[in-house]
Amino acid sequence: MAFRTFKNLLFLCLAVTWSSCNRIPSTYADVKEKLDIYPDYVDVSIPCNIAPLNFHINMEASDYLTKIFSTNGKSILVRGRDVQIGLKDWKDLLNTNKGNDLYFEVYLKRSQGWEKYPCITNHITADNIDNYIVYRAIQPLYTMYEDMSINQRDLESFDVTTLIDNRIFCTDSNPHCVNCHSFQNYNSTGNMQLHVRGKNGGTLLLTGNKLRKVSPKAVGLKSGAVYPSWHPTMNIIAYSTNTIGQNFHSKNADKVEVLDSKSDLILYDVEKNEVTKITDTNDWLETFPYWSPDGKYLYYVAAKFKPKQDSVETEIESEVITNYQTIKYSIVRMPFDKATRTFGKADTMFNAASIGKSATYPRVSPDGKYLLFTMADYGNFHIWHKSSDLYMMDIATRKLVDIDVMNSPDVESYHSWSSNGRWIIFSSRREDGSYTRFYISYFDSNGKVHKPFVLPQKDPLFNKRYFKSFNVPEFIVKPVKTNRLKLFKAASRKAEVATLIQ
Amino acid sequence: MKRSEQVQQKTKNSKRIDQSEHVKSMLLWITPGIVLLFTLFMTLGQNPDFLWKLQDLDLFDFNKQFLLDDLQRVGGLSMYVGSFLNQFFYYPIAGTILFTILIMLVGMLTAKVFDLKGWLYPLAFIPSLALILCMTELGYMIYFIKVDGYVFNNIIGILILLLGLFAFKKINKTIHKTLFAILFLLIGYPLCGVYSLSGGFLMLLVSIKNHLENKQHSSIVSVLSIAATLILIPIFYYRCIFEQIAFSDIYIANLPYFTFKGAEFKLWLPFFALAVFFLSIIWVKQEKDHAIQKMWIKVIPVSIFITFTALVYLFSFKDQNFNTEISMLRAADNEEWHEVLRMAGKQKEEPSRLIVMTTNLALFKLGMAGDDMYHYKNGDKEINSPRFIVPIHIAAPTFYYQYGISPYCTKWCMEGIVEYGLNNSFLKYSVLSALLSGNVALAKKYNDVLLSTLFHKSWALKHQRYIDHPETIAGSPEFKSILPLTNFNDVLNEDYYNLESFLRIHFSSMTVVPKELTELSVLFNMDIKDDKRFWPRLFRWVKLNPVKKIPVHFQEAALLYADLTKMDISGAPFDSNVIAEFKDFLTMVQKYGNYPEGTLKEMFYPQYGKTYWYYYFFVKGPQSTPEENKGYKN
Repeated sequence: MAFRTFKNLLFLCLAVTWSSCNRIPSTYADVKEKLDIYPDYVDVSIPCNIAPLNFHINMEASDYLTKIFSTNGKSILVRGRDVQIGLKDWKDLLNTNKGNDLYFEVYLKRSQGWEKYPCITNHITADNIDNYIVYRAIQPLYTMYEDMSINQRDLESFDVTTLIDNRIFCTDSNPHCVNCHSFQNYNSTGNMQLHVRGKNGGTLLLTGNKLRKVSPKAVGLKSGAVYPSWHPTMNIIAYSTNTIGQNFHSKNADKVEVLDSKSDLILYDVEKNEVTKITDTNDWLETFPYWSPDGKYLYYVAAKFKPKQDSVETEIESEVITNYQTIKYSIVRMPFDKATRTFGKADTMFNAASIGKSATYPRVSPDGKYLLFTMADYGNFHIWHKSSDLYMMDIATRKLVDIDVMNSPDVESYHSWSSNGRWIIFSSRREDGSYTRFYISYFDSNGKVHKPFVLPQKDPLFNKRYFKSFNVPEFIVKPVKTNRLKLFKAASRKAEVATLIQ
Repeated sequence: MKRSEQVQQKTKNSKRIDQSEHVKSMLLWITPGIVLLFTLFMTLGQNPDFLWKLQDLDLFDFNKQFLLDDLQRVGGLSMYVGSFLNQFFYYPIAGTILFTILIMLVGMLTAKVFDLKGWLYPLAFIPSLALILCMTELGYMIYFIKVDGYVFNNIIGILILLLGLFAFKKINKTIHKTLFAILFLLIGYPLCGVYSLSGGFLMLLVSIKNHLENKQHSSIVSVLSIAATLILIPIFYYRCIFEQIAFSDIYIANLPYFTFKGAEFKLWLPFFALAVFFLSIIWVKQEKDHAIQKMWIKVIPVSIFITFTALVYLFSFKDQNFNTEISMLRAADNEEWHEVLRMAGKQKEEPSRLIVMTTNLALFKLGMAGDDMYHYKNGDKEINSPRFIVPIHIAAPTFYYQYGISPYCTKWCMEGIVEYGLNNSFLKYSVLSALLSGNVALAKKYNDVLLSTLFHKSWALKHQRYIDHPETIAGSPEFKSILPLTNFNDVLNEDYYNLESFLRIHFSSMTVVPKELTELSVLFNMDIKDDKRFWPRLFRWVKLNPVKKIPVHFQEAALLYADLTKMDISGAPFDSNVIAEFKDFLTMVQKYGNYPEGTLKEMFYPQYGKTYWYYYFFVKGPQSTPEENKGYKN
């Protein structure tokens, strides 16, 4: 009895202490100065199911109190310079305030007392974002690679699952690279592919519960399968085959040039393990294939490049290096007949070369209306091009839509549409010019893009302290149904080499 | 035997026992004394700059994320503590004191665990000596170590092994021993990897030994349980916890990545020694307290100790060029160019390319290259490394930064960070190259890490000023001499791991030579002996420096090239003594030109060894390949 009383008293004391600590100060001065927070979660539109927007207050004070609230529901109080919002409270707040504004009211305690800063306003949209993204974590490396992983991030929380870490294959003398994770139709079918490069490398195909290791580099093909795109409804994958080289700038801030000296497109039949050529030209470089959401078109980029006659491979590489600034890609699409699996005539969707630019990564919105792509001054590997920005074209009118709010003076690159077409995730190096981070932009039903916000992290300063880049974000609607041990087991097998069908 | 003879014999024996006991008791302090002095000799007594380099190639950050990152690896905690201790090598004396204390602790603990007393006591310091060798054998391998805090990590691992074994032996009941062993492996494996497995294995052997002695049923169960745990614990952690390890590495996690092939094989010697020692010492029975010990019982342990000490010295890496490189590069990092030249002046044996390059860099920085470059020893002595290594692995960031080629400095910092992780050296050069290229945000990212360190915080605070006020970079003494070197046209190329070749091509092949780079373009064209490119650059240098005296080596090169191509430069404002010396040189050439090259080298060296003419005819440097020339056009 005495113990119970003591326990209740203790609880009461703790509750009173906690609530007195976490209470809005009764007296404070209103400050006009704008609050400096990191990340920049100001005037952004967020999904109603996103993880908490934890942030750090970039101003010195002896104490900090933040009130997060909206029109409905309970407000959340957080003490401390790092504003880390409780997940449950956050979810409750967002769920009860879809379509409403979200407010951050921050109080700083200084020598003269508490100061209240102008309220930060964001907007909670009624649109969900897909639950997960899959991406690669890798250093912004040059030639060496050591550790990288393909991870699945739950966008409703901060949970990260490592799908595969290359160190599970690697020993010091036998490095491996894992890359090009790609899904069929947002992983709704459970079909996924990824490459494992290195000794005994290959391509892992996850179809339902079955994991296989294949090599789409059939006999007769000059190079292996590189950039993939899984058809939304059929078990076929379009790949580019590229001969890729890297060179380095001695002065240019772009640092690295990743150049194709040859590239073409192939079609891989997952069930039959067969390959057919889509393009096989000597005077065009075709790469980065991507299916339209309805599977009726294959989009890709193509650049005119004709090496000198009788040039051998090394000479072609030299020509590419010498002329790299003149190699400009435009966006092309070919109609695809699902029944016959044949392609029609190529149609230039966006002639970037004619305006002295080079486009890549064509991505059609899920409703088929818009084409989102990356464009820079030349080349195709735009993550290394500071001039790279995102562009969007209305497919029907072939006119560019203003999405400049998404761009920055630094690199914007690889992008993906969410399955409902309301969210765009893309890579950007705007923070420091070197380490890629993911930004999410709202694309509303009126066709307007909103200011992007960086992917939330549990530690608000995570992006500043993390020394890897995030790479190739792909939305998926359900989690990947495999694990690293199964992937490793599959990767350890001998690859089934595909057959080239002429 | 008569009674008097018996008494005499007894007295003799008694005296011998007393003497023997005296020597035995002296071993208690002689042995650690020898080890202590030997440790100091092998560390501070060899090259303190090497000790400094150990921490330069490592990082300890007081940030919580740093600990969490380490704990994601098998052996992470011992690496974390190892890095913590390793940072004290910033002051070699401080690091050495810590190192020595731990080395001595290993010895004393070994004695305690295995009850090594009396004549056996010296054996207790075999592990200590092996751990010293783990450090002193490294040499160039310091550039390849991927185990953080390597030197201290090994010591901590052995200490954990010994402490675990000590506790295990103290426990009386078999069931408690078994539970302890299982717990030791469960907790120890993620914290120190192979060392906990080794400790567990030794516990297994002790259990086997006990079973053989006692023949109890419970001891069989204990043996089998420990054996099963040894096998299963790493598999459990591999399957359920650690995502960053290959299956082939789970039983050797936290060991260095040395191969067993070729010259690297001997790097395993200290580990073999540790294994042999621990596997053997378990079975050693303690000496009896009575009677006169046989001579061999006294002699063998002491002999092993002395022999092993000698072997540690023998197998330790000793290479003067390596020591010189480390010291020179440390001075270069601090821009103490006179110190670099002082060391270059003391060079006795044939230098490595890296020593020659560092000397030339210092000469250029001091404005002395044109007059003194050929006064220093030249050479191309092969790097004495068990693993293939070239200067770019060792010093790329230093050279690229100092020569104003910041993208390549950034590149090689990143290559190093990717392969070996963040360390103080890569972080500093990443900050410097980011500041040089105007990327303040990136510089801050790297600098923030250094601000969280103990010994590099002051460096970071100094550079924080540039981050906070980037407008001060241009006028600062630190960057003032380097910024002008960045004034060149961009070229897309590769260095193909050949640092010297790249620098040669970069400076000699520029089609448009900015005024700030004219001197370097002259020097490097002299270096590659290209008279066609030399002339226009020399004329440009003269035009840009109307009041300056033409450097001696420039004059030497001009006289030589003019003579070779029959160009008339009689009006050139050259020193009369240089002209006279050249005439003498030509006379000597005419007189002895037919002699074999080897003889000519010896004949010409005393008088002309410090001239460009000697370099031109007798020093054959490495040539660049067409591949390396790919990006450049004349």
